[in-house]
Amino acid sequence: MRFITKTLTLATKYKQWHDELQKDNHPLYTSSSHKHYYSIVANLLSVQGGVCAYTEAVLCSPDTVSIDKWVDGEFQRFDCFGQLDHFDPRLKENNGWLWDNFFVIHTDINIKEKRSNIVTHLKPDTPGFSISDYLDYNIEHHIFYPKVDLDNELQQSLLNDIDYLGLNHGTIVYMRKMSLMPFLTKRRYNSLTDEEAKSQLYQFFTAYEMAVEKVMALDN
Amino acid sequence: MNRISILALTNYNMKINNLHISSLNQLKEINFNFTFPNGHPRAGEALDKVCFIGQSGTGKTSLLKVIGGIIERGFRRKGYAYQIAVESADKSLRLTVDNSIKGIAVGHIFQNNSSRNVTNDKLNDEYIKLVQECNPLIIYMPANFLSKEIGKSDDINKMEESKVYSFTSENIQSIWHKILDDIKKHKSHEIEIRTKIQELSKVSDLPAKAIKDILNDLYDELSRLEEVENNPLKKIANECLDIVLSNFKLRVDTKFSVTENLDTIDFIRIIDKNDNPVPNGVLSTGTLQFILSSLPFYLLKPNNTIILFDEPERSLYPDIQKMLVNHYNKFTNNSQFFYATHSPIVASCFDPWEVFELKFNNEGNVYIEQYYEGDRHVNNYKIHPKYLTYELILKEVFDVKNTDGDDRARLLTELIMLEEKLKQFKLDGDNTSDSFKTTMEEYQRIGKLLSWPVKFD
Repeated sequence: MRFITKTLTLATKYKQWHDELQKDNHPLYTSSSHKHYYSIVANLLSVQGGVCAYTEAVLCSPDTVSIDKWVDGEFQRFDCFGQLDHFDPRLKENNGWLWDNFFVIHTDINIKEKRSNIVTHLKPDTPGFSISDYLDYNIEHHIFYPKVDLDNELQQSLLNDIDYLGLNHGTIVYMRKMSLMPFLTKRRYNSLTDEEAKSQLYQFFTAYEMAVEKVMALDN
Repeated sequence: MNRISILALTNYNMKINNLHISSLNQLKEINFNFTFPNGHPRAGEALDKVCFIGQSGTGKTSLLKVIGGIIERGFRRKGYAYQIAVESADKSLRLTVDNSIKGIAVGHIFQNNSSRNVTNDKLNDEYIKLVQECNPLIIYMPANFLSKEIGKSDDINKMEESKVYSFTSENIQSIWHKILDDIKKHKSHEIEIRTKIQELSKVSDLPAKAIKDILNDLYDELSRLEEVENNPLKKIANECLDIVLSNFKLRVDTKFSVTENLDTIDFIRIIDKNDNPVPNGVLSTGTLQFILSSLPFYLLKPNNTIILFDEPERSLYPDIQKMLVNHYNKFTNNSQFFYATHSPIVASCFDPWEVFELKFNNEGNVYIEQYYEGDRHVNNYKIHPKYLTYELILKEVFDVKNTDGDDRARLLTELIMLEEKLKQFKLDGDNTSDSFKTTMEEYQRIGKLLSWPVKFD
């Protein structure tokens, strides 16, 4: 999970419509059947770099939503592994089309029981947000965990956030492990430079950053 | 237009080496190569066993039925059109048929370097020639074969000419009658001798020595019948059932009983470890499944047979599932198995070239997941079920990536956090504080819940 600069510059038709919405009086959220749904998703994927806002699992190539694919501030229906998520589920009912509350996330972590909970700390577009302030990464099991120097209350709260956001969801952990291990192994034995690894990496950027440091220290 | 083609390798054995389906439900232009890949010592030969896996609705059962239907009924299979080609092992005879035009079978026979066209009837004659040496031709175990009621009378004569043992059919009683014929004859003979012994004791007009001699002969015959090599029930127990029934703390009762009903399967009686009889009606579904699926293979001794088995894992515990494929195979000779399964344990018994994973594409049609990259060569297979743990089979073969479950994932995160805390305590030289002890206790508690090896590195 990395900081996201959530500019709304591509989906201009949605922006125009959105800016005229009355607070706490949004039209009913109707998911993918709404005329702006795919424009919102495409704009978000553009600012998210084609990956899930929380897990950084790849959802589409960034080229899929590049500026040349837009027509008059709108984006046509398209296929990707992602779904639109309301970060704060309480806002869904009356402010269901609020841009600030939207992220595109991997389908497998969009679990209703999980996503109906309140995430208290890990919102990736919070100004100054840095995941390393909160979480650490275990390179043996490829899971995120609360930093051990935080106080217990915050740790418990972060354990909830990790759970609700699906950061250690089984599917994601397996994908992350299988995706990163070749890079980390090559880095460990110096058959790949850090620059080369980063240029080839297309998902799980934060996990790589956290893991590679530990991997390189293994043999010292 | 539906069109199905089968290339069958045969030297009076019906090993199918290729199946092409142009259109059958959601199967469109799909080709199954049932041969060993390049680089294998048997490259190009038909596989001995095949395993279809895939989500429900991808057509696994339909495939078994299609294969069974064509092999059983030759070129007069009704309901859909197809292409079929049959070829002898020495390549001297090759028969191809295109039945994709409604009601018309156009055939071509290549024999001894010459070729000729044939008509509907002659096609069927040629086909019959090819399969007549196969005995039985097909054994088909559907997924629900336990639900077929055994014991109702039907026309036994229906089975006399048939070489097809389909446990879907109406004449299920006849199938069992035929399978169990030897045992019934043996039992009947035994009853006959015992009856004679009883009657002889009532005869008073024969000299005592004569009676004694006859009785001795009858008892000798009884002893002979009791010997394992002459007693089919004991052979079933020793060679087929007991080795697995012991897992259920059961075994076959091989002792004689006059209460046996020779008209049903019930005369194969099961007893528990204390010799108490366990009536078939109270046997567990899994036990019954195992017994009723094993007996046909053991008793029919399939030779050059196509064996179709849908969901062999039904109601069976994992340890039994693991041994099924080898268990059935050991009773057959030169036969070809086609399994359809949802079980990763069953799938783990196959080489990757034997597994055909059916998946839906975006259009809802089915395709075969390719397990190799580049040429179809043994070295190019990227997935090997036999080398994987069951968890990895779920992930890599069955595409179930989330094998941990959300509750475990949450607890695992807590455990890792506690482990990191313990490392910090170690760095600080603290192994006595209350905080350390609390952390260690919690770490061990969660570790146990997760079956986690507790480490102190």
